[in-house]
Amino acid sequence: MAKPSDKLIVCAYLAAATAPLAAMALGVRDHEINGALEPTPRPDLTLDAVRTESFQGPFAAWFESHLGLRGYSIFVDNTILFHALRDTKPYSYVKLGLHNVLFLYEDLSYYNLYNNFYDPQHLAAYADKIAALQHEMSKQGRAFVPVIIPSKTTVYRDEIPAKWARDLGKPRPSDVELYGAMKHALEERHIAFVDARALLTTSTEPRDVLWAPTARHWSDYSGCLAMQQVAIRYRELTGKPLDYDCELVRARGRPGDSDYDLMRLANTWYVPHEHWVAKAHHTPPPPGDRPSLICIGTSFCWGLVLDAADSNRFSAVRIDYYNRTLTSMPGFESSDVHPHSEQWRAVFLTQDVYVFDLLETYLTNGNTFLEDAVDELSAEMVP
Amino acid sequence: VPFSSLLFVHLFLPAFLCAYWLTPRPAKNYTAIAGSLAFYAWGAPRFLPVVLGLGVVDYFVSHQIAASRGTRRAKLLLAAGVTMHLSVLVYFKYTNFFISELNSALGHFGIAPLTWTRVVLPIGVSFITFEEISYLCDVFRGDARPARRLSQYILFLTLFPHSIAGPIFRWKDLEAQLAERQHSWELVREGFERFAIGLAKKVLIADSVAIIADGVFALPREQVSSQLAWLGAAAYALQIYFDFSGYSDMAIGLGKLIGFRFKENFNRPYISASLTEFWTRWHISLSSWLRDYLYIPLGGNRKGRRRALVNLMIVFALSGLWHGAAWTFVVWGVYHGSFVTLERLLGDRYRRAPLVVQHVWTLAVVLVGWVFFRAGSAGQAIDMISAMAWPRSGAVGPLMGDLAPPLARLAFVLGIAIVLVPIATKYRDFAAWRDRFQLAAVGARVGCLALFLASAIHLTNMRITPLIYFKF
Repeated sequence: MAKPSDKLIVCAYLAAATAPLAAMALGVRDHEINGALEPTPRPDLTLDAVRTESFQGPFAAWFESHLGLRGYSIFVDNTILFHALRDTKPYSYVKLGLHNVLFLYEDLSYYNLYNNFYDPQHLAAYADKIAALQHEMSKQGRAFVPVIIPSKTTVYRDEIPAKWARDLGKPRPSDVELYGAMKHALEERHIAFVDARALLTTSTEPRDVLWAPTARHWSDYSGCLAMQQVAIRYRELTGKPLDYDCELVRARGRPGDSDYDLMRLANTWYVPHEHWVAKAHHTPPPPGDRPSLICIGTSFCWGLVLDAADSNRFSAVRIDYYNRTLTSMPGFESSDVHPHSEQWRAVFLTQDVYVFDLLETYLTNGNTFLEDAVDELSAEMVP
Repeated sequence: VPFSSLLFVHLFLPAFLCAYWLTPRPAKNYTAIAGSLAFYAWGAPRFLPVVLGLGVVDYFVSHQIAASRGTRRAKLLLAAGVTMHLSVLVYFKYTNFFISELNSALGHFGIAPLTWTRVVLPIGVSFITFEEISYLCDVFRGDARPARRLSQYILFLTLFPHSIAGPIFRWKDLEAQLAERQHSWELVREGFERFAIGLAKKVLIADSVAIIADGVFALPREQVSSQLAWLGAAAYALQIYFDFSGYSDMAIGLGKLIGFRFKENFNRPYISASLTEFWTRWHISLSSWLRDYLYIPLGGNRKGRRRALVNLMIVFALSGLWHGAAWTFVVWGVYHGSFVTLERLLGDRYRRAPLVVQHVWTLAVVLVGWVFFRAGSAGQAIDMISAMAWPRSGAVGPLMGDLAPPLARLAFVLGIAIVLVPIATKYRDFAAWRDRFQLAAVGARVGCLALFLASAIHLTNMRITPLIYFKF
């Protein structure tokens, strides 16, 4: 005679095994997973595909990516790891620092870099091109302003736990061989640039105003501070007026704010975070002609261009994202970048302010899109 | 489909169990065959006809052997059958290795290498081959009757709980169950619980300590300090035990779900006080197979001490080769064979050593042996072992957050406790304690169910890593 408890337990196991499948079949609403996931289309089932094993792998991937309740599973598991073990899951892109400061793995890799630095000759040639471009643009009444943007690991260096820090001595090789080398190359050639890294690391403002502990990127307010410096370089290079003010405003945070991007990507419940975000308030612009602006670079450009658009001090604001996608503010209209095309010339050769994003984590060999952009502009502008 | 995959846990297993349990008793074997063939075809569709073909041949050959038992014809049939199975194993598992070694040798003499299309290794071929050989041998010896029905023999070969990674079954152990077996709620409950324990061993412990082992073995030579080398070897010792014994637990549990009772394949191997004991506790189905179908036929202990030791070395070398087609596996086998031989030579002198010394010695030998098993090449194995033997400091340390995240460290400590605490039973009788602290049945039931849920949830999480998205 079967015990009722045995039946109950067997039913519980079956329920646990079939619940995700049932949820998948019934389309039960799952918890949203933040972050981009690779698309996994369902493969066509054919005898030949099974025989050659080209069906099995893609089907398993499709099944896993459509399994019901996986969002809840991920959040439960991550939340246990985060709060019980003070860690994010292995191989996650988000890593937990001290005092709940979140880091992107890529930034920690940069912090721990001890090789793959610029070849000095290559760096010299790169800096020469930047100097020539800036000089030529300046003659045309335009400003080409490189901005060295810090990594979060630079601004929150003291919050990096020992387990995420290689013992590389002081100063760290990346400080000397990447940031230091680039800064020296720019200074040596008398290039007007903005050292936003120095700006943020020596600022007397509270650090969480400059960079939210839960953010990958700097705050909009920091973007404003950097734009203020860009405006100064613009005046120096062109002699034209451009006032740019930044008044700190703590706005109420919303779940989709960029200051919470790493928190969202951690896919974890109850991550401690501030409930406000740091933005800048601008006074109305003075009357007169307004210059146009383009920022060429990484996602850090967004902090600059959004604040620039808010400031109303530019006639047009654009971002050339990774030298691949051109987006115009404030409507976010986007198009692909095709260097040397008519459309490209109409935009890229006619701006007044060119912000050139030298994010320090990208000052390594292998990231060529910025050098490509300099080459493309030089080919058209430098005689 | 690995047992520790979402596809198996949430699709194949429930679907198969529903179909199996709803099938009337006389037809249950056919449902089990269909499910097992589908399971095998998923992973090795092109090899399935070979498995089925060999099964049919075995079936007829075994009947011929039984009919002519004691004659020269039976011997010839057995030799032909065994040769056939070994040829299949050698072709699929070792051809690439032999050709690669041959080409390497030819290269030394400036001779152009042989062109060769690599042979794909079908899953489970090593296990299935050994089961087929033992079947023919047992029928030849009169230890087992030939299968009465072809379907039963095919089910024996392809039964999905064991077809891809063992344990190695013997026909004589399963024959009666293949013909008739009891199904009960209690057995199913036990099956789920055993499966849950195995899944947790694999997903929560083995896969977590694998982070440490993989990390250490992937480090450049200059970063492997002595401590890291020992950590890597210990992590791998835990990984391979929890992985393989977890898999065996899942296989035993799955068997119970469909009414089978399989033999145990592991018995707390790391509490062994000698290498000889270790091999009676580790991968028991393989050890006993090698003893019964290789060591004893070679003469075993019957032909003098020297011959017994030679037989031991042959068995261990071939055992190493069976584990993988690479010199590191052969070295691993010879290494273990050497220490088992040494123990035999020392005899009572070894056994008179303090028990604690025997334990430490055995663990150290096993741990170092795993380095050969895990290393990508003999060179890496020697590097690691030299780092274990002599203090070495790394020029640039590894990133400990990557190498040993808290989850891996917890699994490491938990794993060590699970495998080593039972050593205490060798020093003191804990029967009374066991009775006093035995978990209430309901607690154990709930614990297993919780392990199943935790494993399934963790498995889901580990399979999905959202990419970085950008700010807007």
